[in-house]
Amino acid sequence: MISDTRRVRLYSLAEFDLPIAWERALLLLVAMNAFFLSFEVFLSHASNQFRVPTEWIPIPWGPLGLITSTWLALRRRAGNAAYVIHVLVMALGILIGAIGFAFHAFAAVGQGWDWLINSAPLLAPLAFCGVGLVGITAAVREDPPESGRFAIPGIGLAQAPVTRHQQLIWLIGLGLLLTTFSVVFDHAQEGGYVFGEWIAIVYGFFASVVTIGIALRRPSHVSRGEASLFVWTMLLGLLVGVAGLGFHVARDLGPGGAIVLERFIDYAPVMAPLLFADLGMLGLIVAAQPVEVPSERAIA
Amino acid sequence: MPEHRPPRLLLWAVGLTLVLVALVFVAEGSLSRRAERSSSRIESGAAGPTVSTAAISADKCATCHASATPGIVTQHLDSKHAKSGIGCANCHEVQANHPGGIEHQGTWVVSAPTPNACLGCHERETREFWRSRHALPAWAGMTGTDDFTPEQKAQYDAIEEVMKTPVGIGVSTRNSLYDIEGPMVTAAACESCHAIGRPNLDGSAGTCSSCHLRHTFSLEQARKPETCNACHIGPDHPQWEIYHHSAHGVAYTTTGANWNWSKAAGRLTPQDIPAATCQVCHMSGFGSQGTTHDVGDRLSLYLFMPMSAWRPGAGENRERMKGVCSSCHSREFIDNVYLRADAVTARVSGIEAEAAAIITRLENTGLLSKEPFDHPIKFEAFELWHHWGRTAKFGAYMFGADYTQWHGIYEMVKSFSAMATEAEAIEKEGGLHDAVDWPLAKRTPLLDRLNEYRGPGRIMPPAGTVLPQQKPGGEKLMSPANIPVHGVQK
Repeated sequence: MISDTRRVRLYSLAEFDLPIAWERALLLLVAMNAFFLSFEVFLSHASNQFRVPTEWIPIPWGPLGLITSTWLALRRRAGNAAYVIHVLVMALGILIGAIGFAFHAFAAVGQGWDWLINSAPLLAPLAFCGVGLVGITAAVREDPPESGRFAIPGIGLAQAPVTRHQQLIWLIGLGLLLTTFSVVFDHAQEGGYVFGEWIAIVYGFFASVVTIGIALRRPSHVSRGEASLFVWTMLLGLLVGVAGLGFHVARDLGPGGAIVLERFIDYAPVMAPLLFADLGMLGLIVAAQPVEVPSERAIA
Repeated sequence: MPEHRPPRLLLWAVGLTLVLVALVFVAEGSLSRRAERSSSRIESGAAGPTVSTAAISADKCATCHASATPGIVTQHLDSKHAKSGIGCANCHEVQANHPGGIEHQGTWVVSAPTPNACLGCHERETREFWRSRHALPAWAGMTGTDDFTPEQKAQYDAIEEVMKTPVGIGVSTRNSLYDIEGPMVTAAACESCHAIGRPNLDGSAGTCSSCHLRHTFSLEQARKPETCNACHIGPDHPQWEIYHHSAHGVAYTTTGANWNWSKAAGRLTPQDIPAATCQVCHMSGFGSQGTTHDVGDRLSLYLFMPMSAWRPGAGENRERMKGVCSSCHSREFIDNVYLRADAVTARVSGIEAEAAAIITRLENTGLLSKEPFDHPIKFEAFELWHHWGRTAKFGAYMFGADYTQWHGIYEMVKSFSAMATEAEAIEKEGGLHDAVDWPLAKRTPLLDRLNEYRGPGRIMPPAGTVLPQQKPGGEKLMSPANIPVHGVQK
């Protein structure tokens, strides 16, 4: 079950209280991600006028993920059924991501290497896998801490090769890497990179390497310097994401600041740069590990 | 590790980042070239061998038609449709009972798919087209609405900007030319353009391929002004000639080969297409405007009419057009262009009102029949509005000074003079010349009569004029009697 521990430790840097319990914060972030991910896909596929009926598949998942994640995050004590449903919905997200990846890959067949730039974005559906995996990880309890031994309420126990913290850091690192590759390929459509795009590329690669470097270590083995580097990198992600939002909005606005919906959807997607901010926020939450995990409440 | 030293991870991160960024930097040129090559290949019709081979082998129609109609197959295989896996059957194959369908090789097909075939994938574009003058109103302008089904008639009536009460001499009878000339002629003449809005056997309206030439359906082709040249040319609507005479057309003619015609819809900027084209002004997502397939969406006046009227939502439509203009021009410049052009339109409408009065008077006194085109003066009256009046107005809004002057107003005045002289002769012959008191033919010098419309307060809408927001069916003529002055409709 969800822990109510608000006390967290930011590696060896600091120890403080979160406004809400750590797992609830993570679940709320998952809820927000699920909803906005499906919303963004809705806008993208709507601009394509849902030419292929399968383009509707990812749309209902967002509201579902929003409901199950929010339910777990806000309920004082959720029943096992709520956990099972949430895990199934998140697993469905992983499946949708995999199917989407396959559909986008099939659409790229016959285009040579041009698909990298001009086809349906191959990597984009993997975001569903990422959110689904984080959603599942947020709903399970690791007991004992840093053991990789998970209790899934209503389902059972599982042993993972790495700790929960490392799993989440790996997901962030891979998410940053895939996001950076998307920046590289998507912006190539414009025939070259401008200054703001280079910022995203440099940050993306740097943050990916830092995060994957952290993921390779157990939390207790992360040095103070490495922890500082990771935290500052995640904070920088918030800045890069917001700056990217500004760059995209500036590009989308017409003369005199005119708002043309078509450009906001088809030209520079306003929500895309926020992925860096989103991953930065996730990194900061993950970096702040709960201090006490009462084991007697761990297993349903 | 001592805490004051930078962690080894930072060094790794900086080092790997430099390597990865360097790789992207090196690949940037290649990626960009690939993006350009890919889009230009789609638009130019130079398909890659992978597409052709795969599409032919996958499409059983293509295997036969590659020999029977190789041109069509080549066009299709070069298209974005083929690249996206859209085959012949997707558009041509129909149910057995489909109107106009024929049995062919064990299935049923239509030779010319209608917009219903496009609707499945391009719904927004198709529906925008259906509510535009390019759809049923284009056909009705030639034949009237008699051959519409009840459903098509209902669709026609639902089009907001259909002019339900055309005003002016010759407007209500222009369809009679279609009958006078006969189907042997009109099939090869009027219909080739007006078919863009033809009623189809399956109940749909129009044909998308009038602008999107089959079977490549190239974005680049549809975007170029030559596409509009197919119809918007000649004495009745010489937009093609006027455009080429304008600075916009000069820019297109001299530098258009280097413009970025293949930019994705909704992404066009003045960096891609640095001077106006037909499509940029009327359809493209450009400036503050999104893409539309309703060609009247940014138009404020019925310029095709003898006495021009404000379109429904004229003010909003004009603001949308100004939103396109403002990508390159200042607001003051744009307002002045409209101010001058509106004055020309008011002037032209005034002359045409006078010409209409001549014909009406002769008809009402029994000196002329009410049959269309049965007297030379009616041809003169028809050309006055249908050719010269329109040309003068189009020229005013499209920067075609020569067309406003010598191919427009001058020809109008000349026609009007001929009409007045001929009307006087008809009246003398009928013994009515001294008995009537109609305002034009009574020995008043021509220039004096025309100058009745020159009062600056009457025809010159001042800067900041608020245009009327008309409701469908409530058209108000733009004439000296109701030009908005200081924002107030007279």
